[in-house]
Amino acid sequence: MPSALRYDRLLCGTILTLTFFGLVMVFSATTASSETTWTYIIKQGIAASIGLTAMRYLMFLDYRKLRQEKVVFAVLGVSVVLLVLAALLGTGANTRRFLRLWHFSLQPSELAKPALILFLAFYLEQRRERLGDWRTVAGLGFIIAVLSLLIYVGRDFGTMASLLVLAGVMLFVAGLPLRFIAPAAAALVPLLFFFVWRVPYRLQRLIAFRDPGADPLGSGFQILQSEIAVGSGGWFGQGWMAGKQKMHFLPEAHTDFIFALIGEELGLIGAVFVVLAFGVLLWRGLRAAIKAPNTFGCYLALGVTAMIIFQAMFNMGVVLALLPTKGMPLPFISYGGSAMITMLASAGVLLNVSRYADRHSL
Amino acid sequence: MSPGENPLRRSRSVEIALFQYAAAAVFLWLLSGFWQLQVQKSGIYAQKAEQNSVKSLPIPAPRGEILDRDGRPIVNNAPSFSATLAAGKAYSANLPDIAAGLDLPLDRLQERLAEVSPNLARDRIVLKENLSIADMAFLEAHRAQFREIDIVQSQRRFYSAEGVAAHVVGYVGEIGKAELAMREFSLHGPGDKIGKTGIERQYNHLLAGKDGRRRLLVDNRGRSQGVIESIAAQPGRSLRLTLDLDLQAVAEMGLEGYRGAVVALDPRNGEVLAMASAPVFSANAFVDGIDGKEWKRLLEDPAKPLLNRAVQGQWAPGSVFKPIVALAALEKGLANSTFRTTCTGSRTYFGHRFRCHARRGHGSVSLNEAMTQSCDIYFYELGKQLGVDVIAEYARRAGLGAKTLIDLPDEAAGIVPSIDWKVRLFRERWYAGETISFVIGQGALTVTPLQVAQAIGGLAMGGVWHRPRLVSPGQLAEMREGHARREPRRAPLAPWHSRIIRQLLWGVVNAGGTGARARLDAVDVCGKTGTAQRVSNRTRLEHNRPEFEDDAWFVGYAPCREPEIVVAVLLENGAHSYFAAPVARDVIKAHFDKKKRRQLQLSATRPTLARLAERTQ
Repeated sequence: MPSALRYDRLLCGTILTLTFFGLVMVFSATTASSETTWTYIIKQGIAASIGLTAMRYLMFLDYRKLRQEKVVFAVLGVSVVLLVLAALLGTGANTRRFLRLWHFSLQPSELAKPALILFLAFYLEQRRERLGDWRTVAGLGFIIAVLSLLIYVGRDFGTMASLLVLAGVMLFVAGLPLRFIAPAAAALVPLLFFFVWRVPYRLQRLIAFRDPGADPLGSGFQILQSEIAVGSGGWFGQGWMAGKQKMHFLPEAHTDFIFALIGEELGLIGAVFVVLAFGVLLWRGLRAAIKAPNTFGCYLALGVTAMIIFQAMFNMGVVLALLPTKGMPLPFISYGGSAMITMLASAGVLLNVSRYADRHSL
Repeated sequence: MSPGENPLRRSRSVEIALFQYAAAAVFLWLLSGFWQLQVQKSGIYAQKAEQNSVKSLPIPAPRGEILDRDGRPIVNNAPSFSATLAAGKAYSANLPDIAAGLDLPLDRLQERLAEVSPNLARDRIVLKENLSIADMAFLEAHRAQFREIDIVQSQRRFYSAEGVAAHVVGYVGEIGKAELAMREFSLHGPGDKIGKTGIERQYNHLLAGKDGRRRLLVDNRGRSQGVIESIAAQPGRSLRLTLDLDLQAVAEMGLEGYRGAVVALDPRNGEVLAMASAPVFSANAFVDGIDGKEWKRLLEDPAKPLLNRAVQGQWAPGSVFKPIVALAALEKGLANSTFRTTCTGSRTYFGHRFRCHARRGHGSVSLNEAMTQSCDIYFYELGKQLGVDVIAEYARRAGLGAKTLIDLPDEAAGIVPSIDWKVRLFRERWYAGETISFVIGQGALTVTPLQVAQAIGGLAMGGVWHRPRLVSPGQLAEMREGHARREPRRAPLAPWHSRIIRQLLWGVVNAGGTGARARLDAVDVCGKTGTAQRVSNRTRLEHNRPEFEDDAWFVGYAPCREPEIVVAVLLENGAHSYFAAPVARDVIKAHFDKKKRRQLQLSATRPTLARLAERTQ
């Protein structure tokens, strides 16, 4: 009886805590400035409500219902169509990653990630015995390439990186022979070089903490200000709502740089709290994957966990000026409706799989 | 292992363990990063945050120009520089030096800071506007000392020094406390310049632009390190008035030496062609913030230079009211061709003696003679028979006793008395004798010069009264400020009544009437004179003081048949309409001269005010 199963309370509690904490920090980031506006926190609240509803629905659904060709390809198809639409008529500052819909803008690339996870879980399970077959690899490569290219057209490099990483992790764990993975990874190296090593000081910063004072007003501005925000937080921070950097200096304090705001207002304590929360997510997420009753559930849980953890790590790395700024929201916390809803929905799937972890027989 | 079963449950996978350890390592790496930044180097960054400051400088939006109907500027802007101070900075130590350097009284400077600085909604306080070269040099030289002071370029309002159209245009000044609370000015904050009177105020929302802003990153010495953000100012929109500067100049020159007003309207659409009020003031004094003494002098000046007499002054109309009474009498069938009366210089009504202005009397008069000679006795007779309420009804129909709703602030409504009005206001009955003064435009009746021009213009149009306007509805519609075009008030006159009134008013000017001085050769002028008593004749003669002199009126229009222009002139204490008629004549002449010049296409070069002045003298 699936309904009698117990979902992972610790995992669920962590997700809810992060979501609520995110709302509190978005509130601080958007309403404490001189021009008070409630638009952000209201929109974010709406997105969180929708996301939590979706999470609850997906949690108690029999997840094996997702293991159907029509469901998998419907989700994938919708993602591709939305991505194409966004590329053709999307809006956004210099980018084409948003679709305007009445008062809201959709970011189809956010949906592409769970769609790919679902597809990979389904496909890898189906082809478990034929992973070495070149047709399997060609199918995988085709889908991943189409999604990546469409996201690349939207100039959404952060999401593209996260998509490729989660695909890589899933393929690696599924046991795709290294002779396939290695060339793909090798092909990505120049790309990585293009993003990171192209700018010399980024490389330096990647290796050691150096003073990023080279270009304080240009591209270095955000990073410098982010560092100042985090650094001035100290042990205990300036106090909630009391951060100063968000007023003038820290751009995107409510989205990509919300972790800098956390560091400034809540100090090392707040930062460690968030890092630990994602650590718990990693632990419980992988536990759900390992203990899943079947391959499909295992890969689903693994993909979702990898997506959440990679985004969180990348986001923190940017804020700490360890990685280049490539728009990556902090899961469950950053402002942004599409990301919030898809993250919570994906978390619902993860929690669903976690319900089978403590059963020892099918 | 059955197909589909999770392979990881049986044996721990190496791959997943690898992933797990890699992720944990990254987390540890991140934590060490936080440790370094927040604990080991915390001091450095706290210091950096302290030094980090952004200076926000306004980019003031220029106000829209105010142009005349031909597009000639009446008011425009000139670039100037202002010294501004970042608000909320304790700066008292340097104040004496700044005051001395900028040549400002120290107490006024302190007052100003105390007034504005508690309000943090504004981030800069203007210390001094329109800086001189010496001021700029002083600030530049003491830059290191007065770091919080910045020089900002702005557009200063530039008014005519002679006060051309000063009352119509109004002036700008710094927003006051009361005005801050008004919905009208809800987009403005403390320290902003807003329109205080006239067109500047009426159309402030169009003329005022939106200030821009530049945000600079500055180091701890106040030096700019670069621009973070720059929002361009949105300039205000220029307004083209219906005013014609050529006519305006003539009107203003006609008022020279008098207190009074001139209004010229196009009766076909209500456009105001000229509106002058004397004495004038120069609005430039208000722009930089007028000082208390000067302001007090203007307010207490008995000549009331700030009053726009054309729309805010209210006077008894005297005999210029008579055409309205004549219309009432015609429509009530009273003043027919057989109705005559004999003027002997005075007549007794209700036990009180009423005089005619002609001591020796006009003899036997019909309506025609009564109008041309402005015989009071004849009109007393009409008034007695018509009664106050009939006359009042016609006066209100012509637009008296109510605001014309011209697009200027603070318009006066005037008073049209009636039996009801007196009971309501004074709880007293109406005395029959009051009707006798009312009918010749005296007593409680008061009007503004604009109302007179509108009323007589409407009569001349055969009973169509347009709402006077300084900005045409067409232009407002273009600017998407479309107020629904207001329909004129219509009470059509019978064509034969129209003709009779026209003949009467033609006679006043052209057939040996009281308005002969308004005659022009080129065009038929119709009109009516008026002389309104301020005090009783006896008091006036006994005291012989200038302020007891009669007010002189003239209202005229031309051409008589299809009027294009109606001009009302009031000379306060002008003694006699004899002086008022030529002023109206000159404005009418200027209008037709200009029209003719245009028709002959001789206007290759536009006439300057100087040339115009030559011609009219």
